[in-house]
Amino acid sequence: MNFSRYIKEHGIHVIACLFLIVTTDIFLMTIGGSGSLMIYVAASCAVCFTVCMYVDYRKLKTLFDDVQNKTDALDKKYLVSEVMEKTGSQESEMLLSVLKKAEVSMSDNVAGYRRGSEEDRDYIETWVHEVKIPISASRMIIENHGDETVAESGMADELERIEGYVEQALFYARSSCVEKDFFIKEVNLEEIIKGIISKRRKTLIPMHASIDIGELASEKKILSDGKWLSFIIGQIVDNSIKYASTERNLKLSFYLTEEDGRNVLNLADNGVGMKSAEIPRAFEKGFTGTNGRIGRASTGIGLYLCKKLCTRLEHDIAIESEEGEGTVVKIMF
Amino acid sequence: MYRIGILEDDLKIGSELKLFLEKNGYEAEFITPDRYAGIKEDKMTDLLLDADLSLLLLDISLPGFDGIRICKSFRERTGVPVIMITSDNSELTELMSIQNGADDFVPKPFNTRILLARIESVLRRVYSNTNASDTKSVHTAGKSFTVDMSKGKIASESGEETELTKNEFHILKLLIAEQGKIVSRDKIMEELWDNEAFVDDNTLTVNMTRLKGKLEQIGISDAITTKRGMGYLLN
Repeated sequence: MNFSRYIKEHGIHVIACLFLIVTTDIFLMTIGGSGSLMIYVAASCAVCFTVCMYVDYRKLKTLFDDVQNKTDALDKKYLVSEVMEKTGSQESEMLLSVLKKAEVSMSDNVAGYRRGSEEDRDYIETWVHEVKIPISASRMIIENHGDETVAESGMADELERIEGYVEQALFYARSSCVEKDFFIKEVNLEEIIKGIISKRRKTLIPMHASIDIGELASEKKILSDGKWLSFIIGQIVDNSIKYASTERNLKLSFYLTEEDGRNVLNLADNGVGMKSAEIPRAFEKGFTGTNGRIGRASTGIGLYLCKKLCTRLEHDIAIESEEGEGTVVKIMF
Repeated sequence: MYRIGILEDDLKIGSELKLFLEKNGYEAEFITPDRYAGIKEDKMTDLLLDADLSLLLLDISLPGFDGIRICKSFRERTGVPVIMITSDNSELTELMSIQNGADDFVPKPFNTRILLARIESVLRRVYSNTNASDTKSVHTAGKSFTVDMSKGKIASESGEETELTKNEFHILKLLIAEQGKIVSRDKIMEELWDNEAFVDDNTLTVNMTRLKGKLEQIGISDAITTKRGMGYLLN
């Protein structure tokens, strides 16, 4: 708030003051008052008005500056009415009541959206559980009744792909949820990774892939949610498979290191690698990069989800890569 | 023979699972939902106990029942192992299952081979003492030998015996199951990978050579024939 603008906006007061001075002076003139008396009356009126206006200005300035500063200091600005002090003046009471109303309406609105997004999430979760049942049943039917033609048709692989996408939808719903729905405990990395590799054997064996998990059985305690971590690592392994080099057989190595006192799981492949300029953007939603555009269908969702889930689990995730040599994804616990 | 109970609300999965287990040498009973419609939880436990099972495959979400509670009350009254099967693949559900007495937890949709491996391992763990002599005799190339399924040993009729490594044992088991048919290298690799041994081509070749060598040690030669470009065959 500044004073000159205040004066401009309170022009009526100034006009009233001038009007008073002029009329009083005219009156004094007609009754034959002395010049010094006229100046004295004019000056005292002017001083009186100025002081009144300045005091009023200070009062308003204190009130608005206080609200302004508190708002600036707040992370959630709509909560400013909660920290405002009651000064007892009419202006501050009215301001407070308006801000309170705004806050209530805001939180109702937010609650509405939150309920909506929770409902969506619950629905997706239920849907995923339901769709897994016919997938299971189909898989059993192929196993029990499928002959050689069915086995060679790749039907089972297609089912596996469906399952992969369904799982991704589930974790997508989980990733943006406000509620904590994971469960941190000590996890067995070796077991998790073995499960992931076993699951992808149908893809990895024909690729003549070699798997190195020798260094994982260690004494180190890793705290995480096993199922979430399994999904994250699964996405990374899927990327390694997708971006395997055509010049050599895929080699996947999993090993633990320690950096700044944190345990780091390294997932290394010898695939096509990434351009160094593209690495910082790899975790962005929808980013497909040069590799993603050459022939391999990339949605730009996998790594984005990994990053989001890692953030929720309070892990960090980073990529190191050399184009043409391979990629190392690091998960820091 | 082991008798496996299937408590599952989806009729298709239940009946296919029963068929699959029967194909793989188990006796299976699918407890269909109409058999427990409207009964109380303790009656459900009675029903399961009466079924005289060696192992129970239990779905967590059953109509009118909580699978975890069934598991708990079932396990309080018997030593029969339980494997939980659920589409709710979360850490908390798994922990709750294990805390309430389940022996293993397999998320849906499961890989049938992996389910089988889990069943075998639970059965082996629980019944290993009572069924010490789980042996199978194999006739091949005019001779016969026995395989000790729980210890992973092979022995000839004259009593010579030798121990197999985990990989060799899984390969031999697969060849025996498919005796007389050519088994491709990829299929053997899949079997090994299902059992979490991620071997590559070279390792498989080495394993095969060693397995043949061990069979020769106990006097069984030419039992396994290599079909170039196709796979292996147990005569």
